[in-house]
Amino acid sequence: MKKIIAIALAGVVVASSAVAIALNVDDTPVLKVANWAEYIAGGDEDSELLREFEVWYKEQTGEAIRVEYCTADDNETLYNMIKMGDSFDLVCPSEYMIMKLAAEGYLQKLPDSFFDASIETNYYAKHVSPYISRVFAENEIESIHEPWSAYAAGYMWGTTGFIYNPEIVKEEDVSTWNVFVNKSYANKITAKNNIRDTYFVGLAMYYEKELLAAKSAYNEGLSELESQYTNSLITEQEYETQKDSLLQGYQKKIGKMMNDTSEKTMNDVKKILQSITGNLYGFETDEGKNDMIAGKISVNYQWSGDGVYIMDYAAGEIEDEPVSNPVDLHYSIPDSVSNLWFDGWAIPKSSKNVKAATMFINFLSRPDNAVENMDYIGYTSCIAGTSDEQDPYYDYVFDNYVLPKYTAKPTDTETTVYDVSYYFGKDHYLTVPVNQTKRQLFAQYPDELTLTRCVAMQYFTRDANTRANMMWSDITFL
Amino acid sequence: MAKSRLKLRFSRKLLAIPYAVFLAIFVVIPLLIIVYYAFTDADGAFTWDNIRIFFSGSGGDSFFQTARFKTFVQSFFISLTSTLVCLLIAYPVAYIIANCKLKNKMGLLLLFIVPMWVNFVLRINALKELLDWIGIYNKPGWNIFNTVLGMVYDFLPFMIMPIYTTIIKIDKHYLEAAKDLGAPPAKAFLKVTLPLSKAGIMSGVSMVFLPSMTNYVVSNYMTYNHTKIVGSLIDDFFKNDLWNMGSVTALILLTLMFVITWVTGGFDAESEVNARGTTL
Repeated sequence: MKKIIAIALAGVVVASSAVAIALNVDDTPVLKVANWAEYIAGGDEDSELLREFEVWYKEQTGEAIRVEYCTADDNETLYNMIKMGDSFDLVCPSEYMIMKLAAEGYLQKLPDSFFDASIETNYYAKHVSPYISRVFAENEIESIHEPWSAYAAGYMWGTTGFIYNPEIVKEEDVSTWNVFVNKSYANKITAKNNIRDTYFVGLAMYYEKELLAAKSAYNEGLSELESQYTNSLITEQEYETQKDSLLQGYQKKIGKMMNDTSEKTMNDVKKILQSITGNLYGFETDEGKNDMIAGKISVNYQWSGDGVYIMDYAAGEIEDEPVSNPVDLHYSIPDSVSNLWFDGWAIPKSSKNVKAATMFINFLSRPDNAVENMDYIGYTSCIAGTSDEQDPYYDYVFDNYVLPKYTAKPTDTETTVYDVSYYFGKDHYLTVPVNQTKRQLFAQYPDELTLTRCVAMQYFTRDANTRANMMWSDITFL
Repeated sequence: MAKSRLKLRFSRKLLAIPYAVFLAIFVVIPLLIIVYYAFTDADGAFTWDNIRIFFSGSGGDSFFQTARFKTFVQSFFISLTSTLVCLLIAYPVAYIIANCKLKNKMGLLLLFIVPMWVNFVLRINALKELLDWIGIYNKPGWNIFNTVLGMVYDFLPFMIMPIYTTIIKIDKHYLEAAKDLGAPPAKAFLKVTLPLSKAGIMSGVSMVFLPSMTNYVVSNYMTYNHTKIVGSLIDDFFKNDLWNMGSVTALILLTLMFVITWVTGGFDAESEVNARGTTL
């Protein structure tokens, strides 16, 4: 009898749990998105923007959707996840990982319709900054001869440079990569604890002369072109096209140097990097932020986005995070060359919902959402807003983010006019406190001239990757 | 009669199934995967290249000048030191607790075990802050010391527990016999207690030595990424999409540990018996 009761009870338990599972089945289509941690307004999977997207998607298409949002630690983890067969509908890797994934056949091209600016809800096509769309069109994924724009839509972007304390560090010292061997900052400077960023430093030091020569050749060519134009020897159109091709030639030249992974160069770069390690406080991943704020180090090689955070924090400009001794830190991009990076949206081949994926990109690219994201994350969005006065988002980012954040207050004594026309379209100037040309504004929107010397780094090919790893273990063994 | 035979079979073979399944999924299969990756290239074809690359020099340096070799040597030294320090601290502690007159020895033992319940990253971070405050954190010359300190801090309980369990099991009559036969306490300890607790020592050593070779979280945190151990090497390879090289490194470490255990008599089945049977 007892047995029968026990079996009956077990049966009830099994049946009820089966019913519970059956009731829980949710057949709403899912959009599976992978992004970095803290890289959307409001945090991660709890972000309000995700719920707003679900509502907006239903309004637009009449269909329900549920966003399944997860975060990856770094590009390499994301790569391994995709390689091991995790299927995502939309991912947000950095430029080199997008190139690697595309070259290895893990990504699908963005549909042509995505770039049709005449479609009302194609917010990315309509509002992406002209600077970003030019960079995406001109830069190529070398091994498959496709522009970045074929596979990626920009999300956030920036440069790399030095965060420094101007009271301790001379500006000219951080205008050159040789600051890494500058004995004045022995044990007061950090490099990044990853191969790519550190190899870039080594290459920049290795090619310093050639890079500076290329830069002055470009400047000479530019001033000659300008004098031809002012003397009316060439038309405005000729001037513009020649200026463009001059810039492209210059960037190609320095881009080639900064992507040199030949065995000989790598051996030489290794020696250079081994010579800087004795001067370093250390290679850091995230610790550098706190060390800089705490004043343990005076120069921190950093991505511009985190640089803005450090400057905000050290100056006591972050809500609820008061600092006892506020410092105005500066950001500097070396004279010879620097790294241009971005994180972008890409659609894996395994994506089951391309339509929802592109709509998600467009939703985040709607300028009001872009501003919301920038306010939260502190990085610079690839979205600028449109120059079409009829559009509801006319000049949205400039008016709602840049102007209120950086315009000089009446109390600021020294002000200057800062030009961001290259990014927001013709005639976008603002009056800012002088020090902003070296602080957050400069880190977020460097001037056009500075950006001419910022180039992207391709991904390492298989052989180069093996060599780079061996080099890395050799330099980081201290 | 039939019933009792059923019972017997159940208690022997069936009870072993959960562990056999566990062993297969979490030990044997991963090991096979490591071997597979160690002997294939990125396309999955068989190759000796990974081993060849691992043992070859670069840029005019021989293998013995590469960071890989130096990392193994440094890591070995750190592990050895950590294990010895752990042993020097743990043995007296285990001995005292096992021989004290207190009724509640477990309570005393808990004093050493409870700190382990705090998340180890948190403890290592706290230790790091402490060293920074003293002024020896990330200072040239202190990195190896700080790494060993972190390892000892982290792994000490793993040394105390097995030694304690063997000492407490030693039959006190042996010591009485030694005393009766005229051995002074020191000699009795050396001739009786120490040999009889060898199993616990071996078990503790193997539980501290290997993790100290691979726990790169400790070395990274304690030295601002300055000190590399074998674990950091493996991590770097896997992180940078060189699974084959990472697997080779793991396999070499595995072989090395196997040889060390074999040479030091760690496979001596009799001495292992009962040594690990503790509840933490």
